[in-house]
Amino acid sequence: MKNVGIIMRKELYRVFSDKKMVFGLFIMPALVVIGLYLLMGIMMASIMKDWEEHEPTVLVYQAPESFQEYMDQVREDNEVHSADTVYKWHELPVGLYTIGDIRYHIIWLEDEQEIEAAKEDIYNGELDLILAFPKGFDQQIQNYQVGDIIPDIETYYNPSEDYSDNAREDVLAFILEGYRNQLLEKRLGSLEQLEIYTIDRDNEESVIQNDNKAQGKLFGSIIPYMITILLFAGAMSLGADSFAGEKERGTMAALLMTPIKRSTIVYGKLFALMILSGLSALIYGGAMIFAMPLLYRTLGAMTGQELNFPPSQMCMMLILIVTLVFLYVALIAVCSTLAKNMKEGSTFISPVYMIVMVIGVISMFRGEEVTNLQYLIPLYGPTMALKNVFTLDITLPGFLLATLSNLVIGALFAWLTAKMFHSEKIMFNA
Amino acid sequence: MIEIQNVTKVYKLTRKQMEEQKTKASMKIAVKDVSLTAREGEIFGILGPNGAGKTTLLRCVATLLNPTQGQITVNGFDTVKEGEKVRRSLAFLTNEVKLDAHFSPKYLFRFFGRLYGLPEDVIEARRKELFEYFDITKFEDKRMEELSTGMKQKASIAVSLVHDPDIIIFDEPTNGLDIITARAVTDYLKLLRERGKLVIISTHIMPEAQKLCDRMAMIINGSCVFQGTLQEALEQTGADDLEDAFFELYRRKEETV
Ligand SMILES: Nc1ncnc2c1ncn2[C@@H]1O[C@H](COP(=O)(O)OP(=O)(O)OP(=O)(O)O)[C@@H](O)[C@H]1O
Ligand SMILES: [Mg+2]
Repeated sequence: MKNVGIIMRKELYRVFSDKKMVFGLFIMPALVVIGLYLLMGIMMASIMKDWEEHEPTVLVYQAPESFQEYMDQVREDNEVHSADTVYKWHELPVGLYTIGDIRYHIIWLEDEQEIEAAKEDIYNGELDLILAFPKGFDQQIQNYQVGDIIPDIETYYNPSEDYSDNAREDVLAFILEGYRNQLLEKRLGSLEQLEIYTIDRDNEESVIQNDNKAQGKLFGSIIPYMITILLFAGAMSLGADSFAGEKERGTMAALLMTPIKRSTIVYGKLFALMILSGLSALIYGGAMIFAMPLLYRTLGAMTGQELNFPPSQMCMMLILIVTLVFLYVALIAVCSTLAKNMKEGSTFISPVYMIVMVIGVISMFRGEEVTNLQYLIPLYGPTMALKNVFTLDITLPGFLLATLSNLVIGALFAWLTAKMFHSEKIMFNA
Repeated sequence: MIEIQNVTKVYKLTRKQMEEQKTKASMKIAVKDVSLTAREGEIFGILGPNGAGKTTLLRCVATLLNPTQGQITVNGFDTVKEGEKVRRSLAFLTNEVKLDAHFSPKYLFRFFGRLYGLPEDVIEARRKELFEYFDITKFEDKRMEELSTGMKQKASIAVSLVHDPDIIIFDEPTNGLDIITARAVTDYLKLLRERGKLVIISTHIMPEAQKLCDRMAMIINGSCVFQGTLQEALEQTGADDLEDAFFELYRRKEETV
C-alpha cells in the first residue's frame, strides 16, 4: 500500500513539475472553454441582430382588394403607396410597409407570366416569400355558404434561407392572422362569439414548478455529457503516456526491475490518473459554469442561473463522478497497456472514446425512463444516473446500482491490467 | 551465485516480426540449452556476436523474461517463482531499461530507494557515496534529458545500485561511451568485484573482455560454445589473444553445422 503511494506521487510529480503539461491539462482547457463561449455569444448576438435588421421582400400575387385595404390600414407609416417606391422588381414598384417592428418590401403582382420568375427568385434568395391568392378571393369569401370549398392562400418560400423562413413566420403571425380576424369580424359582426373561453386572463400564479428541477433540466441535458467527455479526454492522453509511453521509453522496465508487485505499479498509476483527470474535469466544469452567464450576458438574454443542488444530490453526483473516473481510467489502462507505443495507445483508446461520446449524446435525449436494472449497464447506466441526478429523477436503488456497476467493471479492468503486466508478450513484446 | 541450468528461450514471432526478419519460422530460438554458473567475487563475461542471444539470456536472469525451458536460480531463489526476492538482490543495467528523462538523478535515486523499502537516511548516505564516486553531484538536480550520454549512463548506474545489490548484471556496459567514461565504468566494476560482488557483463568487444573478465562464456547462435577462464580459452584454441580464440571457436561452430 505504501508503494502504491510512492508510485502515485511520482506520477503526480511528473505532471505537476512539467509546465507544458500543467498548461495543457489544466489551464488551456479553461481558457478554451471561456474563449469558445465568448465567441459563441458574440456570433449568436450578431446573427440575431442581422435577422432583426433584415427587411423581408414579399411578393403578393392577385391580391384581393380587401387585403390591400387591410395592409394600408395596419401599416404604421403614412407614406403614399406609389411615392414610397424606392426600386423596382421586374418593372413592378416595390412598396415599403412597416407593420409591427418589421419593414416589409411588398410587390403587388397580377401578371401570371411573372410568377415563375418570382419562384426562381425565391430559390435564389432574392425574394423571401410569395403569397398567392386564388382568383376572386373576395367574391368567394362574400358568397361563402357552409359546405363550400374554403379559399386557400398559397405561400412559396425557401426554408434553407433563414431570411425566407423568418419572413414566412412573421407574415403568417403578424399579417395574415390579423387579416383573417378582420374578415371573420366582417362576416360575423363580432369576434366575441368565437372566443367561448379564455385561458389565464388574470391568473398570475399560473406557473408551478420545482425551480431546482427546472434548472436541472437545463443543465442536466448537457452537463453529464460534458463531464463524461471531459473526464475521459483528460484521462486519455495521460493514460496513453503513463502506460504505453513508459513502455515505449523503456522506463517501465526500470519499474518492473524493482521488487514491488506489478499490481502495485498498476494501482499507483491508476490512482494518479484518477486524481489528474478528475482535477482536469473539475477545472473544465468550473470554467463552463463561469462562462455560461458570460454567454447569456452577451446575448442580452437571461442571466446565468446558479446551480442550486440539495446536498444529497451533490453527494450522489460526486460519488458517481469518482467511480466513473475509476472505470474510465481502468479502461484506458487496459487499452494503453496493450499498445507498444503512445501512437498505438491513442489508436486503441479511440474506439472506447467513441463509445463514451455516443453514450453521452444518448444521455442528452433520454433519461427518466431508465429502469433500475438498466443502471447496471456498464458506462451507459452511470452516465444516465449522472444525468438523472441533475434532473432530480434519480432513484436511490438506481444510484446504488450505477455506482456498483462502475466499481465492479472498473475493478475488473484494473485487475485485467495487472494481469497483463505479468505477460512478457505484452510488456516486452517477447 | 547464479546458476543457469539448461535454459532455452524461444520467442514466438508475430506475423509482422516474421516479415521483418524475412523468415517463415514462427519461432526464434534465441537461447539454446545454456548452462552456466557464476559466483561472487568475479566478473563473468557473456561474449558473442550481434544477435547471439546475450541480452535474452541476461533478461531471463533479471526476471524480466521467463525461460521457455530450464531453470535459473539467483542466490538460491528461482527467477520465475521467487522473482521479487531475486530482484531485491540484483541490479540490471541495459539499454532497454531507462530512467525517466523528465526527472533529476537525485529524485530518481530517492524514488527507487523508497521502492526498495530503504530508510531515508540509508538512501541519503548511498546517494552521497555513489554520486561522489561517479562525479554527478554537480548535476544531480538537472533533468536526465539535459545530461550527456556519459552523464546519463553514470547516473543510471548510480540509481540502479541504490539497494547495494550482491549481483550486478550489465548488458554492454561501455556501449556508446568515450574511453574516459568507459574506464570509469570498468574501474567501478572492478571495485565491485573487490567488494565481493558478482558482476555479469555482456559484450562483443573482445579486448575489453580480455582485460576485465575473470571467467567467460561464449554464445554463438544461442548456444554456449565455451565456458572458462581466459587462460582456458587460449589453451583450448591455441590462440594468442581472446579475439583470435573467439574466431577459432566461431569457425569450429560453423563447421559442425
Ligand atoms: N522480442 C523479441 N521477439 C522476437 N525475437 C527477438 C526478440 N528479442 C530478440 N529477438 C531475437 O533473438 C535473437 C537474440 O537477440 P539478443 O537481443 O538476445 O541478441 P544479443 O546477443 O543481445 O545481440 P546484440 O549484441 O546485437 O545486442 C536475435 O535473433 C533477435 O532477433
Ligand atoms: Mg544485446
